[in-house]
Amino acid sequence: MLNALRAAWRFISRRSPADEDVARELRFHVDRQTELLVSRGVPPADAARRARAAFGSTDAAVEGCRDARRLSSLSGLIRDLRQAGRALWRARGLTCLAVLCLGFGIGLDTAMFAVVDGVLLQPYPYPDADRLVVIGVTSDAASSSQPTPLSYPDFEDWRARADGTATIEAAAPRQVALSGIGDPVSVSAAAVSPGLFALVGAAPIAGRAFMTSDGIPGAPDVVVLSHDLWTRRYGADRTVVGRSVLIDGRPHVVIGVMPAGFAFPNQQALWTPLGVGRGLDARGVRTLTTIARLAPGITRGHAAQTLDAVAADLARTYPATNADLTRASVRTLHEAFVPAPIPVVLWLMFAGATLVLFIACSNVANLLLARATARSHELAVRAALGASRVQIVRHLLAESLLLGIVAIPLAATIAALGTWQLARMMPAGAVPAYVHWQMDGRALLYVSVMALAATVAAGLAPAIGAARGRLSARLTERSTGTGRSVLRSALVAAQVAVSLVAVVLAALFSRTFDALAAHDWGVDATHVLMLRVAMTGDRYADTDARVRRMDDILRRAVMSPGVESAAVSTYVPLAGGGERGRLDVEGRAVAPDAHESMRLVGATSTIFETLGVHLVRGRLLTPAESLSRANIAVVNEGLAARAWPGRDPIGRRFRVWTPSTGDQTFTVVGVAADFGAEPGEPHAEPTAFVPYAWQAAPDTALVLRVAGDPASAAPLARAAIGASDPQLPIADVQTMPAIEARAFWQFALFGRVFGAIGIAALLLAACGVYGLVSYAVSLQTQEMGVRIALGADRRRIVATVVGRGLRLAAVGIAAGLIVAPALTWLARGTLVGVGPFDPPSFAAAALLLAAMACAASLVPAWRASRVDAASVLRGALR
Amino acid sequence: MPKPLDLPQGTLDLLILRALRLGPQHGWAISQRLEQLSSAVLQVPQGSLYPALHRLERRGWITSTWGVSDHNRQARFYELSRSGRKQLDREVEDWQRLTTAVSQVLRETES
Repeated sequence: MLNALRAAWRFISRRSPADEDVARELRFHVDRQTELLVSRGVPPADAARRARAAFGSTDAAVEGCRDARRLSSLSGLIRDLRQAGRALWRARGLTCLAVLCLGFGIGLDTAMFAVVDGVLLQPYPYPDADRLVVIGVTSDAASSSQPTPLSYPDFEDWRARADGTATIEAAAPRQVALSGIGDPVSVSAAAVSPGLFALVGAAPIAGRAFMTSDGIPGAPDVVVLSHDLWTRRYGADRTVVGRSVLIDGRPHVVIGVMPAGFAFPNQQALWTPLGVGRGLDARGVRTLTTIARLAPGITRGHAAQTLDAVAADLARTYPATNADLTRASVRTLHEAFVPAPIPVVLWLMFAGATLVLFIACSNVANLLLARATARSHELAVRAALGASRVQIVRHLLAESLLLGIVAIPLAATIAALGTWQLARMMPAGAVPAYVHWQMDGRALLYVSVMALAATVAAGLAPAIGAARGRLSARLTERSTGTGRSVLRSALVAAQVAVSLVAVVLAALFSRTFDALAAHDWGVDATHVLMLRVAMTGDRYADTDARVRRMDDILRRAVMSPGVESAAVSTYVPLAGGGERGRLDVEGRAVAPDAHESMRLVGATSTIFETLGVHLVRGRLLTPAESLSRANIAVVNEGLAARAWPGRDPIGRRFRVWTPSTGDQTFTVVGVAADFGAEPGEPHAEPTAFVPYAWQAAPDTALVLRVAGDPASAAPLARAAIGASDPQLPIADVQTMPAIEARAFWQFALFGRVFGAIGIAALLLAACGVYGLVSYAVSLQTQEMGVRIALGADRRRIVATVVGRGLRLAAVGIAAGLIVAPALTWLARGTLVGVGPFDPPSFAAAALLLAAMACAASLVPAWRASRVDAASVLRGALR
Repeated sequence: MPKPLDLPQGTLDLLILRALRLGPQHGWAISQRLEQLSSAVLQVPQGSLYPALHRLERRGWITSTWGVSDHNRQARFYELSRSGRKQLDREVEDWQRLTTAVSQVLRETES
């Protein structure tokens, strides 16, 4: 920091080659004068002295020449900056403090700007991205709920009907097993309609993109690789294009490689063509990410009208699958890809950081105000010597501007560190694709603009204040600036208010995270390990093949040393899984569009024992039933309470419809304790655990309870799976404690970011209170001395000064308590286990700020009480 | 000998331009010439001579080059430029109007 200042100073004050020239010229002059005097008979030593004396100060002449020259090439602003540089260098302490305040304030704000900009503002990297929309369907009733994706047949109908309104393309994300070259791995893939790449303006860097002919039935299987997969797995070898790899065990010819960074729609590693006869022909299977480019002149509103008609038609034509889905949902890419609470939280973070910047600015403004007051004499002299008010304002503004310029590198560094730290706080692999940011040109521009705007804003009030009024009056009076001290107090009170808001938000998010971390999920997770396999491809196309494979893996896993209990399940608490379906309770009439939703999980009977969940009523399935297609189920308390409130569910029947099972009716044989319920919810999502054969999904999980550390059991479990099928990819291996820790990383991140904002606000506000109180004390040194001389109790003086700080804080706290609820109310959707008006959080924040004000006032108070009465009185008499 | 007079504000530029009309000169020679031309009545403040020279150069009225002085040493020589000549004519005219007017006023007051 000091070095930067010093360099700036050197730049401003250095002697240029031109100065050397002038010095040489002046030397010549003095030498000639000396010679002249010598020729007139003056002794040489005397002559030199007299010549120099006649010339006067060479330094002044050099300076004069420099000014004379510079006025031409440098504008008045630069000259002001030069003078400002000198003035700031003289007040180094104050300069450092101001630059630190600004640097931190702007740096924090810029980091948040980079995040908001990257996630919410910057257009997606597709040409004319504002013309792209994401399409889905919703029901009339639930317009606020998440739209449902289209199915492939829906997509084809929409595409045909939307001609002229929009060009529609689609991607069906899925998990595939990739083998052929290297170990089998499970990767994210997507079947895409052939025109999709062109729609989003992406072209392969090697080979070719899909053509319409690639999607027709009977066409050879082809695949396009992502740049990432191509470099990681195939060493960026261009000869891979044209070769064959195994996807789900079937050979696919690599026809192209996409450019680096392209991973549409989420984090896809490879793409295959979407078309008829490729496993997505059922109208009820809704997995498509459908993206459309609006035709020129068509607004989102127009498009929605046209597509609403299509949706309504399809609902009439295919009531079995589309009955409820009568409206089109047309969303921007940002709306579709960034989940709902995220923008609110990010904007709040940005607002918090901007408030911190406001505090930093008002601190700097206060510093400059204090300085302007201290310099009022100097400024009055300048005015008396003919400087206009504009010149004085300009001069003072140049000082603040220079502060801003010096703060820019510091702010940029802090912003870069901040974004780096944020990126580090996100768990690798669990970060959604919409989270991306960088310190790019926009962020740097933001830093610079904010730095200059902030400093000018901070400097304007003091500068105008200094130039206002009768400057000459200050030559004779020693102003105590009553009017300005009101402004300063207001600024500091505002700082306290802003800090309170930041601290309250930090407290609420920390409490949310604590609530989630401390929440009892109803699972004994300590010793549980989960491995998800990916049974894709022809070998596992048949459900029975998947059931047999999992049964075999389960038998091997149970035999492994250290394994106490093992189960197969499509659902893992906090990690998701299972299938959502429509619930119909037998003997209960419901309106046709008021179906309730439930979760259907295929699992073996050991799942409850493995997760440490106890049975409340009835019995478990037998191991044989687990692998059968018996129409029996163990339901959780949530489903029991929803379907048969207050009655015994054992023996009762319910019907459930899911895309993969169709309509099935199950009889309840047992009720298991709820697990996986959200904090504050009385019950977990209504769930039925049915025999695994009903729901043998490709991404089934093997769940193990082991004796020791679950992580150390992973190799054995992998070996068990490998022994059963060496070609079977393992998509995911996680311990339950790790899943629990990861499930809420965003709340931890929110808590820490708001915590950082709160701490920064608190510290800066403390500086503000400290500065103001000590300034007031310094103005009253004499009064204090007199009081002490008259026998005032030093403790009374401490109390008076601290009381001043506390009164200031009280005003700010009161203002903050009025403003904060409005902001916390905005964040209510992201808070868990704590309300937006949580009294303990508000009380704690208020107390913390009061304590801060007290601590910040104590030092000046102590100093006031130590005033030496004798010296003050002597000073007063003098 | 009466005490040398300080230069009135703004006249130094005029005098420098006038001194340079006789030909290129370096700073010291200019100060000498001014003293001689004014019969030692005007005392050129030597410290302010050079800033004035640089200011005139910036305005384009004089140009400077490093050359060799008659004592065979490196010195900076100043020369009147074309616009400097015009400026000199203007300033001389202004000065004469000013002094005429001032003398006239003074005569009126005396009589």
